Amino acid sequence: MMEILKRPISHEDRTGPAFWVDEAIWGHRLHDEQTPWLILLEFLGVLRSEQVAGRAFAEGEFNALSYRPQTQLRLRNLIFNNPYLLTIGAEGLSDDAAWTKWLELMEQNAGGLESRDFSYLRGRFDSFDDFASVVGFLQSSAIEGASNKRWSSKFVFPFGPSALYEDAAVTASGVSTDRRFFARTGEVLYLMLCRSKRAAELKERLVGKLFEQPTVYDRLVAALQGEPQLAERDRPGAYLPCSTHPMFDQLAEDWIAILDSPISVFDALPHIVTITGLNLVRYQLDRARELLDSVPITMICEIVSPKKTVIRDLAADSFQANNALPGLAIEHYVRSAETSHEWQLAVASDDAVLSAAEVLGRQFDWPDPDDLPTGMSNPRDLIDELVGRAKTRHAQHVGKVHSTWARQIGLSSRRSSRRVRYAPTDRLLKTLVVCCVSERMEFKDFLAALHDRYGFVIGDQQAASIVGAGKADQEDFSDNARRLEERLISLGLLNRLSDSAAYVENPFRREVRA
Amino acid sequence: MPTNNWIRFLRNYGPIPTNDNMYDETIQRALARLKMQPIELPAQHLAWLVDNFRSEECQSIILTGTAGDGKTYHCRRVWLELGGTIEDWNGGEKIQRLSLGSRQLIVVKDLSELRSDESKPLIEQMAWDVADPNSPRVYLMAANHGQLLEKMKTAGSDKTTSALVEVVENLLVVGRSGNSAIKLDLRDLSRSAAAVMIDQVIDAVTLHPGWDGCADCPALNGATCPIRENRERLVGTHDKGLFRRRLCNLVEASEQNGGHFTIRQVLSLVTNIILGHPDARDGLMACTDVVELAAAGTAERASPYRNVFGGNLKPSRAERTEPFRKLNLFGIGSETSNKVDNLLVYGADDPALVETYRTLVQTDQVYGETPAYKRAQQSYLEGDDPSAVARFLGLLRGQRQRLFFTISDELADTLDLWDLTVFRYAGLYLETSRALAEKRALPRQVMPMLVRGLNRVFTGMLIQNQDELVLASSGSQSQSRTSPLLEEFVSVARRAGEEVALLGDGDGDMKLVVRLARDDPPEVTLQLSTTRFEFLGRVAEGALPTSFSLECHEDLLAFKARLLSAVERRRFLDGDDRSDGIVLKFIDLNSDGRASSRSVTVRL
Repeated sequence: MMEILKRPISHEDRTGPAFWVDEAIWGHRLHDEQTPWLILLEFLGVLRSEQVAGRAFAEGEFNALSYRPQTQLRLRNLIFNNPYLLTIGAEGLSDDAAWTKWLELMEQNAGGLESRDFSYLRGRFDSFDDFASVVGFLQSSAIEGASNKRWSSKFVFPFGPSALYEDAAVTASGVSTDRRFFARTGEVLYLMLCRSKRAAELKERLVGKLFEQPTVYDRLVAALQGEPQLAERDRPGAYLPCSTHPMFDQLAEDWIAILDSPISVFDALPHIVTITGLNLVRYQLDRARELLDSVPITMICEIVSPKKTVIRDLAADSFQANNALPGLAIEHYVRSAETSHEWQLAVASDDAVLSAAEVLGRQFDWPDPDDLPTGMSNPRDLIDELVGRAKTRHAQHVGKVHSTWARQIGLSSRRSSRRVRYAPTDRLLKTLVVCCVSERMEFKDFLAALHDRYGFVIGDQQAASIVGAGKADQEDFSDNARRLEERLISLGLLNRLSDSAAYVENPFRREVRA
Repeated sequence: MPTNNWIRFLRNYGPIPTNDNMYDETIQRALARLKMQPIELPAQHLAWLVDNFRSEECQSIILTGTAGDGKTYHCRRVWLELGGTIEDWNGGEKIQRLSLGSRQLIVVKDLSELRSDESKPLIEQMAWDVADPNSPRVYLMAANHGQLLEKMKTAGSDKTTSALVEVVENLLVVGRSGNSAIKLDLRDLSRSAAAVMIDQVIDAVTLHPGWDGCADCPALNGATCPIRENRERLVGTHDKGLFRRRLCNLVEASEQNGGHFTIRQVLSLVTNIILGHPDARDGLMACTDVVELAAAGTAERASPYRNVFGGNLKPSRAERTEPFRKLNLFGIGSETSNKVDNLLVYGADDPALVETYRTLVQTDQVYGETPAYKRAQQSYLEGDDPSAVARFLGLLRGQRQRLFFTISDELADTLDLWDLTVFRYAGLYLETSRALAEKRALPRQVMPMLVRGLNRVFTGMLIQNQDELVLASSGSQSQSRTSPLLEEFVSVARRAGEEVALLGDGDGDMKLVVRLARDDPPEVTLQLSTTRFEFLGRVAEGALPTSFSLECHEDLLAFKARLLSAVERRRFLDGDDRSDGIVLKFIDLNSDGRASSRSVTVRL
């Protein structure tokens, strides 16, 4: 039986999910609109708050996480809600006039602040132009800076503690957390890493590299923000259904490998984002697989070839099959309620529908016994109704996680095809090399490592069962592996000695040697 | 019809399907049968190997490389030099033994021939022997890269064997053994410079006594024999060796880019240049073909300049066959410039071009302005025959290939010789590399070009600075496209310990060296290849073809990251600066396109 921890009732707010199905399987919650970068930012916010509270990566009891994030609204107004710098700069005013005009405009237009007085900035800069250049620089280095999200959902690069804050909705009526883009996936990620075997080692690295040596740019951001601003209330309610999972340990391994590379922590972050996306996708599929009790997840990856190949079709089939798994898991999970002893008793009781509703209510928090759906004559109708509702809700967000994140991290693509398939991009390949190869590794061992760790099927060795089933020739997969070899060479990640011996090399380690 | 046995023998070295002359073993048998003198091929490591085994403190040697690098050939020559007999060698023993004074030399000419129950004890014994300074046995062992590692790894897992495996792997990958207690060295024949080899191979083939057999050939009376013509051209008596020099340049440029030529491929290339003809069987002429081809009026299609690129083979075959695949990467024939095409198309009638046309096209009656070319050119210009266009464009391709090998050094600059290839800066690259080797002054435009290219990559802006390196950062990730913040200017000319210079390493390789201080931090280097050089040249020029992979860009960003950490180190050594805030230096572009810096202070 798959592990599902109990829902954290103590922090239950009635605005939470109407029924507990997706959440029970994967946690509260995986959300497709939260991109992997935003997952990392939310995670860093949680980690920072917990570290300040002296609890970093220490989970007292399961799913009791409650933290208070920063809001840094002054900083955000300056950088993302400040379209006046260019226009004022173009007017050719004197320095004094420029400041005065700008301060006035901010006084009228800044959002979500009680005091809209930014005059503290004047003393920090020699001129208005200097100020404008600094803001321009921070805008240009923003995360996903080109997105057209609302200003309160834009983020400065995580230079350090001062640059972390939560997503918010700012309206005339005030600031609220609508969890539009920080949808708790970062909290789920935090819990995963908390529960990994190497949590302590990871904490040491993250806190040491990101929080304890404030960088110049973090001090710069702090100077713009002034005193840090915190949210008014704690944020409870995070939930992760299992106390351990191989994927959590894998995730921590990967992070440590990246953080231990001889590169700056800022350069490490993009790799961390990518590998986190991959592991979360794997986690979603693997929990579904566990429920359905099916074979281990594999992903057949096409290394893009100029011409259509058998692998392209297989990779598309593999993508499609995996994409359907979470949906199947939902239905299976709900319907399995029927097999319980409790359910049998309820069905046999006098008021079968009401008793059955109670049984369901205990497991899924649905239906509300005082507010049963109408027209239910048979307990099974309840199950059908719940399956219908759960699938509809699943399809809106959780069901899109696999396809959305896979695309965002460069795992899937539709390049030169109408069907989506697994076809890793150069960026993902580089991240994989950094995670799997500490110094150098024979190419065939690298293929095996990708299979063991992430379920990737690329070469003929890993595709033995597919070849055995007659779906492809061994040659198709060895060609695929050869294309990977070529790609890695062109990325400077592979050193080929001859046709039969090649080494994958960690690019950062090699540079240190050079 | 007279035939020369030598030609028949030589033909087997070419890119033919059976490829009988692939293996040293078969060649020895054929030579004995035809009573022919062998082709004396260069064996670069022979002297070194023989010296090693004759010396008192000799070490065991592993020869590795790709198929066709001459491993067996080296083993056989060593065997004979050290007193072994050809009969013993030809006896076919997989493991041969020869006594060397008090020691025994064990020669394994191909490790992969051994079954694992034969190789396992051998490797284990070897592991002991190389670790023992007084061992009575030394080894000469040859194997392909992959097989070498595979055999080694499957041998044993005891401590001695593992130590051996580790040393072999280190020698193979990083070129250092890392364990001085183990008396073993490794020579990777795939790292031999083919540009040197090719000259020796051309001599060995074109000056072979077998050609004497052509002396009484009746085909010589009157008509030109394309085989003999091609050989003459390769020997280079009429063009002062221009053809072979350009061929060497091409091979060298290819090698600088990581495209290795095995000796077998070089032989196959030279053979193909001489014997190639698209209408002959397997694309290679035999003596019997010559008269027929002359009668059909297609002798000109044996152009050696086209044969360099496998133009005598079916395109699909040339694409799959080394060395033609590597040489075709240069795009010679498809790439062109207006200057060259104008010359080839209008040269005969344009008073401004006619002089050059005469020198480069008209004078070569065999492969240049042949009657067929003239006809095609005329109908193309008059436009009376639609099919003439395609025919002429095909011929044009062959002419461009010919011009690449025949434009004299004097005309090379005016006609932009290397514009005939995709590597437009390859000529400059080779010139620079030669200047470095001969310790001459570098071509004047090289450093400004490289520095400007680097600066544009480093900042992500089209800046013109070329007297200093502009080290810029983005503040966040080093991968971001633009870097608006200045970290440091580094003077190109030597100044206060700073310097940017090009250094050669003797092998024709060159690297860019950046020094930030006299000794600490240590210098930061960037190995240059034809591709990287081309990339920087194109960036400096302002236009970058999209066909460039991300590789170069990434390499240069990594180089920048190393420079930035050196800057960091230098600042650390200089000590803290005492400012009351943060100073950011923004890069501003002046009206002349040069970057300058503007400091912005933020008080805390």
